[in-house]
Amino acid sequence: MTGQAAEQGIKRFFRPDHPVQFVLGLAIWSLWFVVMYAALSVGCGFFPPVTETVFNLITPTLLLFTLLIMLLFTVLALRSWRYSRHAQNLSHMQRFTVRVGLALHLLAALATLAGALPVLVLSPCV
Amino acid sequence: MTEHHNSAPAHQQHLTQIWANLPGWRSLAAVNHGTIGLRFIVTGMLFFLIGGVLAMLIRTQLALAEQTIVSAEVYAQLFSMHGSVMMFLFAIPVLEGIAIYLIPKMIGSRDLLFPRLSAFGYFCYLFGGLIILFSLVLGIAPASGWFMYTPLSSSEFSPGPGSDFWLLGITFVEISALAAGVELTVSILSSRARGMTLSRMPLFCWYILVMAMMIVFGFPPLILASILLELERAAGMPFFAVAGGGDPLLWQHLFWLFGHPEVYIIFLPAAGIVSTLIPVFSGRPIVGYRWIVIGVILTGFISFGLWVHHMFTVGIPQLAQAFFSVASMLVAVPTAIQVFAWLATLWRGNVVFRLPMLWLCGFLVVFVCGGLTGVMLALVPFNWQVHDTHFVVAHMHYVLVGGMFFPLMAGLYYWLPLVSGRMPSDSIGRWGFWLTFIGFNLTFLLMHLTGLLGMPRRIYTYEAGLGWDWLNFISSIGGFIMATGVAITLLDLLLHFRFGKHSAANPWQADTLEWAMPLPPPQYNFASLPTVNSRQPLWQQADVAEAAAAAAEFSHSYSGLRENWGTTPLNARLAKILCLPGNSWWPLRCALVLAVVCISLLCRQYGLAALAAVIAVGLLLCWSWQNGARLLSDKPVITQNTELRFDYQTTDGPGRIGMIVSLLANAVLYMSLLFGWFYLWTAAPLWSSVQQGPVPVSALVAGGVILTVTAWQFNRVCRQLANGDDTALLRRLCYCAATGITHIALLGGVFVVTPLQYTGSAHDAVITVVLLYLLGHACLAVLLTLLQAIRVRLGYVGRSAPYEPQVIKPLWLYYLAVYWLSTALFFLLPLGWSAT
Repeated sequence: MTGQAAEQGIKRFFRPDHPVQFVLGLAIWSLWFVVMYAALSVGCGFFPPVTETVFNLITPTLLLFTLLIMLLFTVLALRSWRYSRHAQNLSHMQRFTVRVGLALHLLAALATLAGALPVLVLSPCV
Repeated sequence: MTEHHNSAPAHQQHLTQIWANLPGWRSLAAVNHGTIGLRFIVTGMLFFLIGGVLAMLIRTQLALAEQTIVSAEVYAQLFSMHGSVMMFLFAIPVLEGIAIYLIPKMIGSRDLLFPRLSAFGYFCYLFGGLIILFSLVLGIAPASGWFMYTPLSSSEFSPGPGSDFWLLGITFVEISALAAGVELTVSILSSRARGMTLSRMPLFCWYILVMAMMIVFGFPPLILASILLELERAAGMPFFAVAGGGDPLLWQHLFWLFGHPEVYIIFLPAAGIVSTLIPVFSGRPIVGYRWIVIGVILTGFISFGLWVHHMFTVGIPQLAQAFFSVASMLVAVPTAIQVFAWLATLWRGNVVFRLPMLWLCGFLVVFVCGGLTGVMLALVPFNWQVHDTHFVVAHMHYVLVGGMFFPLMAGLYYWLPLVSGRMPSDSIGRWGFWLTFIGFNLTFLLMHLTGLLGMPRRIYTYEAGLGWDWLNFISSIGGFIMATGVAITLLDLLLHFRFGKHSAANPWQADTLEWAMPLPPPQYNFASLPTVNSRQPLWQQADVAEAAAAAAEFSHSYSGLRENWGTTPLNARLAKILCLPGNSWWPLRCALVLAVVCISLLCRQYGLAALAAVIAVGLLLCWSWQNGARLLSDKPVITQNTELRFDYQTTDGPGRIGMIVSLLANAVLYMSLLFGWFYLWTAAPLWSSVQQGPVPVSALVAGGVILTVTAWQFNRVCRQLANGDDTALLRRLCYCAATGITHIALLGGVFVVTPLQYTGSAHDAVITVVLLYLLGHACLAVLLTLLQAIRVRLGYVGRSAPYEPQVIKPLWLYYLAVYWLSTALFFLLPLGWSAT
């Protein structure tokens, strides 16, 4: 495979009608979940906050990370949405993939948002 | 070769001959999915009966206060075995059996793509199950509960062999589950009927695809945990002992990393049955096909983020608990999507209340109740109150019996005519259902109250006057009513083989492809390649049954062997011809020798175990050698204007996908080990890492460089073959093997010279396991490369048959990745951390 062909090969994975969309959003959610839990555990183990309030280093770090992930979901969902509206002559399978992918990106975003809400109200290491 | 058009009986006779099992006792060598699937189901139901008898003994003991029918020790064995048998020997294997039996028929295929692996999985399951049950006969069964918490299950508090029976037997059974997970995934992706795109695939197949992937990702953590605990018990490696730097909570994490997804591994196939049956008995397509697919995928992922809700009382920070609490509530969303889709389908359809539909109604009522108590348990404060009480027992039974047993019965009744060609008795079946339904609710609805009144689970008796007496008494009566209902149902299923009325074709007016076959179906399922252009082929395509039985494409064997069509994963376009292996004794032989390994370990005969393990590896390699392709032809086949190649003539195929899926499971096992390492490092109270690592890192890096060269060379060989060039192939493979052996020598040297105190420190114990893991992979990769070199010399691999090295390539790449990852995270990172 030439360099250009390889690049094309990799790029096609990110097309909104590629079946990787079935798992991409939720794989990102899984990564977010693991990082949140691991960061909290390691943060509390090695850098415990001095006070038991939400004003500490761990909470903003977790929130910032969540914000980045939400941004990523927004981009992915927007891409799928635009593709489903503008792409011509999509096959049954492609339409199915784009729509399922779009819904899964949005639901993954929702799951991320719901999971991050407790960070706003709970002290991290108590 | 060109297409021949034979007369219908002749081509079917030809296929029957090729696909037949051996007669009499030699049918033990059968590998056909129909035979193996039915064996799984029947064996699972027998284990279910044993688990049921244990449940009745438990209910008899608890019926009245202060009873001493059985002792505390025997009671502990009863509930541990009841849970283990029902979860590991009944629920998962029976559903796997149904999937193994149905999936090829539903996707329009002739068999699963690794039929000998199916047979091997069955024998592993059978022998593993018998080994566990044998402990019960000897009165030394595991007694630490079905989730075997440490330190209760450790040698200090469970010195007998009970825990060993569980750990070794369950691991043996899990080989079977993983085998099923791999082959179901590959078969669904690679051998669907032409035109059956993923968007037209029956919903049951979506459920099984997600379940199979969940098995691949969910089972390895428990396999690792079982290996570590057995190593602790047998060799004194302190992974879970605080004094040695371990932590008993690591077991809980690893167990529930498997344990909670397992609930969904059990639920999803059952929900797949529901999604298949409801449209049939409503007489209309399912409402929200796409939403159900979304719900199933969502369930598959989110169910891996719930495991800590089993551990809310162990002292985890409240924010971490909140993450898992929210995820536990979120998982109700995809389940609710499915429930509403089912209700909408019933609402919009004309429901016919045949026997399977009755069980589905029971499912909807019981499972929704179980789901609601599940959301209650996801709330941390409520969870604390009812933790380890009978409330949890009641919830679990509502979810598992409601979510698995009721749909299972519906499915068995529904697909019974497909197996036997006969119909069950409607009146006996209704008696069975109502007694089961009433008995179940009498037992477990009241058990919620027993739990709320404070009765702990797993106590063998209780004092009178605590308010639990009448509740337990009624629960026990309910238990016996339920047992009567189950007995009547099973009797009905059994008797119908003799007395049931002969079934007409497609007796339920179903829409899926399995009903396009004659009843009972032939071993090869479809005489010719079916074409599907709708989600409901039997409702939309009038001639599909006739076309599938006619003498057309694939209606004779091009190679004289068992053949199946290989289609592309997404769009199901015809891509190649797959040669499938036939009847074989290899699966039985290998499983028998592995059983010897298991029993030798139980008896602490480590020499014999090592010898048997070596023989097992040898047999498995012989099996792989015999399964490998023999060059039948180097020319493509022309079928109806399409040029097709055999899989061994190409560079991609089911074997390669199977290897990748297996490596995914392997990667999860490795990641679980990595998790354990970091967990002990950050959480174990007495963890001690060393300032100067005991392992010579420079030697590891040198080994890594040699490995990189080897993997790069192997990769080059594969690319060269893919480009149709086999110049100096043998020499290059030998060169790979030689550098691989140098790498093994270096790594082995590191292992031998490093003074690891694996019985004194959890740190060194983990390092020992990591080094052994790496060495095992290195040996396997080199052995397989050597075998390839021999096959090149014999002419089985070359320009005309470039496939096999492509199957091994992912193993080399995987090993290269984990080697460098291990060097970085297990050896370099701790040194850097200590330095700072």
